[in-house]
Amino acid sequence: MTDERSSFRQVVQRVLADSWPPLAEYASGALPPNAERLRKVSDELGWWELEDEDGGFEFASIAVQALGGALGPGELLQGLCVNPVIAGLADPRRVACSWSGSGPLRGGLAGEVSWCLAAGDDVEHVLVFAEQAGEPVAALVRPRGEGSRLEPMTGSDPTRGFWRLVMDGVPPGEPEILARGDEATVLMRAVERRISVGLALDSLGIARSALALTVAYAKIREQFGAPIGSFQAVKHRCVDMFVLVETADVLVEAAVTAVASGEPLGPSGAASVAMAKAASCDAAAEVTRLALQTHGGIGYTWEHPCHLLVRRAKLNQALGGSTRSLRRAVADGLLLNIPSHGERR
Amino acid sequence: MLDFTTGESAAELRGRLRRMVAEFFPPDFLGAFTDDPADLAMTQRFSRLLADEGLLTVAWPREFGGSDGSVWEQTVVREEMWAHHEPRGAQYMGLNWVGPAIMAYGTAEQKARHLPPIATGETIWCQGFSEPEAGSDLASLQTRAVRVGDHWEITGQKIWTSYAGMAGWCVLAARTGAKDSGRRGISLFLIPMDREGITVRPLRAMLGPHHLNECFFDSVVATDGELLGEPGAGWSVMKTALAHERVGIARYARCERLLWSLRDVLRHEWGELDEGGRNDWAGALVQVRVARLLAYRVVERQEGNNVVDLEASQARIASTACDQLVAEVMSQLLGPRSLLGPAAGAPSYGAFEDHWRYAQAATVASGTTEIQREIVSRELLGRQAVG
Amino acid sequence: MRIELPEAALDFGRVADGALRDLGGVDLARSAESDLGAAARARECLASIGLYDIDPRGGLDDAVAAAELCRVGGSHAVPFPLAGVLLRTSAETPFSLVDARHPIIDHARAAETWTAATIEGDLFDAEPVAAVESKVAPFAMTVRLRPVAGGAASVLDRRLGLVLGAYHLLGIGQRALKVAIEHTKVRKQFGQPLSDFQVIRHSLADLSVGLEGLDLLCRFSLWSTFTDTSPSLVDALSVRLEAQRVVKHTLRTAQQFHGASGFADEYDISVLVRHAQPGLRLPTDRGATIALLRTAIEEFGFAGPFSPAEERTAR
Repeated sequence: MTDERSSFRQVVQRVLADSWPPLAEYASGALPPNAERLRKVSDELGWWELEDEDGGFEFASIAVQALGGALGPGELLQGLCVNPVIAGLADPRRVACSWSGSGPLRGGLAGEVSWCLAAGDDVEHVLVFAEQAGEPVAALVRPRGEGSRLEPMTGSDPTRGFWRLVMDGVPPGEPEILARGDEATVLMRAVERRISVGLALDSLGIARSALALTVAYAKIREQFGAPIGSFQAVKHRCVDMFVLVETADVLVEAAVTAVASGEPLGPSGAASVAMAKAASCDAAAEVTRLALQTHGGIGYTWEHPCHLLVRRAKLNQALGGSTRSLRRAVADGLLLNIPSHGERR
Repeated sequence: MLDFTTGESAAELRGRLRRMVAEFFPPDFLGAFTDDPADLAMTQRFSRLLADEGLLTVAWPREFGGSDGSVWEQTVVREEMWAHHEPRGAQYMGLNWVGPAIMAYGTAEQKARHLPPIATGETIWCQGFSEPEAGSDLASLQTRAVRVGDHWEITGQKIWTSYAGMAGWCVLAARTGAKDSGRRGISLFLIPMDREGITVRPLRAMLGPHHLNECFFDSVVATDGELLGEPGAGWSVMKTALAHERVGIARYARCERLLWSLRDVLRHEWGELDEGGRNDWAGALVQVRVARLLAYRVVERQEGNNVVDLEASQARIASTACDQLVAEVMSQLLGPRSLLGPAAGAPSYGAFEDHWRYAQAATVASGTTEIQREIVSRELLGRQAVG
Repeated sequence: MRIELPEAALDFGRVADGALRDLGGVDLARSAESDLGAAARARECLASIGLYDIDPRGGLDDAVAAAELCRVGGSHAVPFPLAGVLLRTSAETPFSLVDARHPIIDHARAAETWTAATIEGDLFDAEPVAAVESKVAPFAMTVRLRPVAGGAASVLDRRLGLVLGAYHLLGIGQRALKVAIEHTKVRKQFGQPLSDFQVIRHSLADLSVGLEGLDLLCRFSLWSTFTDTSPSLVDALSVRLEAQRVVKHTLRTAQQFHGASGFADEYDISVLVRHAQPGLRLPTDRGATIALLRTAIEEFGFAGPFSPAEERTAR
């Protein structure tokens, strides 16, 4: 890692220490925690414009991963990781989009768009992809305009806010069309990849935190007269967790590099993004599950962040396209260059 | 010869229970431990109704308010109740083991005092076993019962005590022997929860409200008449209790019901779903059946009064692993919808999300998987007990 | 409900176990790789305890005896096509399930002609052609298939083929756990027996859970072979799937606990691992089994207290 990146990482840690509850106290207040201060500081530090510079995504990714490990606010994930693709077209602080990975709306700008990530209902625009009269479009929809509204989506993860945009009569001329045709498709692919990488980074941060908490706990918690970390079952489990984290780290790093190059992603770049999302989100789901098992009862309580890490990791795994479909996409890419049966090279 | 049918009366009972649940509960009922106190009240009314029909303690002897039913009828009750989100609410502890333990070890007075209100669903019991420093290593518990004149004074702290906030009574494990007396120095007391010196603090947890609590005991007075069994004989009663708990929850029943309801929720998309995901669903159904058969074998042993620790632990390992496998498979097939709560238009009123959360605790509650593995391997290897 | 096997079947199993042990147990399997006479000795021994008197198609009583014999045979990796001979279609014609695209039969040398069927029910006469010459399938041979005109294998035959195959794997798995337990109790590292290490103990516990569950599922599927009146293979396929999952994992873990010795043929685990492979892979690998099972469940359901069929009747 370059010096520049490692000092940025330290800055991020200091900002989090200053403006965001530490994991140990995370759940003592209302969830999700109030992010006003963190948003303000990150704004002052220019995090929202990191990508104005070449390779800025590498820096954004450092912040996103650290935020994941601190169960950071969802709007920063959206703002730092996805919204730069529409830089200049709307205020990135006020744009949300769907993280579900379920593809464009089939019936034009009508119906429901689920899993829009945002702090509250102070969202100005929802970036929506749809098929309209046989043509792909990318549009900015006002969620409190005529014929549209936002409904909160409560689920098993209380660390972030998700919303459902309901459009039941948006006037045709109302949404601002950002792109049509191929241009809209390119934009949609870019957003999908940003979402994949964002979830991968968030999950990697979560997995690292879960591992660190577990190792620390295994050293101090005693049963049968010894720290539980001295029991082989626990010791080996920690190693398994570590291997999952480190494997994911390599794949996530490769995906970040691919995206940060700023070039349109070729097949290998796309595969690298898919691998990162699948590996990191699976790793985090498993690592947090093992963390919970190692903590025993305390991990399920609000006095401990363990269950929050589990819940967020689990939702990350389900969002942004299923692990199975991502792995299949990678396999399809690999098989593309293999001559079919009976065909000569 | 081999026969895997549960018999006419059990099948009839199954239908009867299903009709009762369907008539009594709205389709969105997800158990007693929700934010809506009406849910808990409803389970209490339903328990009375079951008691009136002789179904609350179906396998208990008639002299203690039961119906002399077979262990298979009891199994059907267990399966139907768990599959339908435990409409008996907090009665589980009393019915499943406190009652039977009092039958086996209690004095005539204790039987007369405690068994009838359990059989009618009037009292809720909680179990004061675990302590902050004595989880898996339960035998190291440090709550002390000290002899003062003609009575005992109990001081200490318990944790994870389910239903403590609503319970009328507690089976409390305390050390009457020396500090290092291990499992030989533990005694059980039957204590009313409103006795002076008891404080309950609810723990917020991912399982929902009322579920987990901390209990503090500050010089709580107990009489000799409140001892369950001989002083120092608590561990063997606890062991029996924990063996009951291992098969007391028919987790596989809810798993099976949810897997089929998932198929129903996804019926229009089923054909387009990833083949691998659908295969996993089929594989999960097989694991559910395996878990059920392992539980049935323990029940068959119960019938012959011959429960084997090894088999009870094997059944528990399988059923908790099955719970988590099913949670995984359902979340893979449903995607993020599987994690939506009831208020957000979740499929099946949030039953999948509820199951996922509960499944996470399955391998920790009432004896971690690791402890079950210790019990099993000890038998396999012919080793001494740990701790 | 009756889950325990009848005493008569258990007795028969004990007799078979004693007879095969007297013949050398796994040593017989080991020698069979170079000694063609081993299979004949196995046949003679099995005949003497009544192999040819059992008619597994006749009903549950005989089928239980057949199943117990397959399990015990598996536990010694007996070098003989026990299930095939039990399901013979004439005195000299054993029966085997095959994959018609790559027809291979284990211990095919035991007969000149076989009756072969696919899981889907296509029926063939099969003639052994050549040994596959693999260390992990020392007795398997490719066979030539000739379709039986207008013939189809019965549901009963296919169910029994799958279920008895699962019993054979169960026996192998049970033996593998046994040798793993014995080995970890005597083998010392870092000054203590391997079984003192928690990870080893916990793995053994998990293996026992898998095998006990498989044992019970075998019994269930055998029972349902005679009680399920639909043409479905779901129960038979499900037990094959579980046998593949559990026994493969058991063998792998038991071999791992043996360290390098696990790959040396002096140790029983090495022989068990190799001789188990045809049963684990033929006629379907795990992927093919689960795909067949899933399609069968989509068509016929899967019995249980909360299956849609049961939900309808219990209301």
